[in-house]
Amino acid sequence: MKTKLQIPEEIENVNKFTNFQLPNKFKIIGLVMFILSFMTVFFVAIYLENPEYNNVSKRIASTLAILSLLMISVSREKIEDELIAKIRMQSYHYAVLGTVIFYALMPFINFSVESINSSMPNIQGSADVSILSTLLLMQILIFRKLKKAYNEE
Amino acid sequence: MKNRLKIERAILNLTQEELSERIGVSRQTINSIETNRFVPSTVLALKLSLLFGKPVNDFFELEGDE
Repeated sequence: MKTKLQIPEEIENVNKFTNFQLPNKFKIIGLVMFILSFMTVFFVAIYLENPEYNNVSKRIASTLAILSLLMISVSREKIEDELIAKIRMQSYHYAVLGTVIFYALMPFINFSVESINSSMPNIQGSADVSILSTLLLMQILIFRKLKKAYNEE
Repeated sequence: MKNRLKIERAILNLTQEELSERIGVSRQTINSIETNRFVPSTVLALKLSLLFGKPVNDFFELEGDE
């Protein structure tokens, strides 16, 4: 007897979000955009003298750099199959853990190095706490939501 | 999990490229399955079963304490 595949709404919504992919050509577009925006950050820092415009331009350029990397990240491979899906999931997993560990430890490593050279060392890196907390809280909440949805009768 | 994919492919006289085209995956995926670096999903295993005309158990086998 055949039964129709029943996918709960929560899973369907997450699938819609995670299955979103740009066509393969966006990898090249993203790479070109990244190089251009990365170069813009340097040129703005060197040539734009007004600090107000300098900061806004630098922010726009660095946001474009991040968006272009995101574009590369969510672009399809030429052949999208289950091996590619697994590799993509593993790379996101690695990226999240690597980023969290790196940014959690970095202020303390910097502090240790600075304390050798300075008598009044400063511990830096407060903005990263909110980003890392958001990233991890989102993962924990979505994990719990999906786990519940997959177990629903 | 060990598999006889390479042998079954040889019986049908197919290259990795040809097999990958027939079941809609990349050549790298076929290579990864043959070298035991990737365990395919049930869907892919059933597609292979259909192509080889054999049950999945004939070319995929659990190993040791799996």
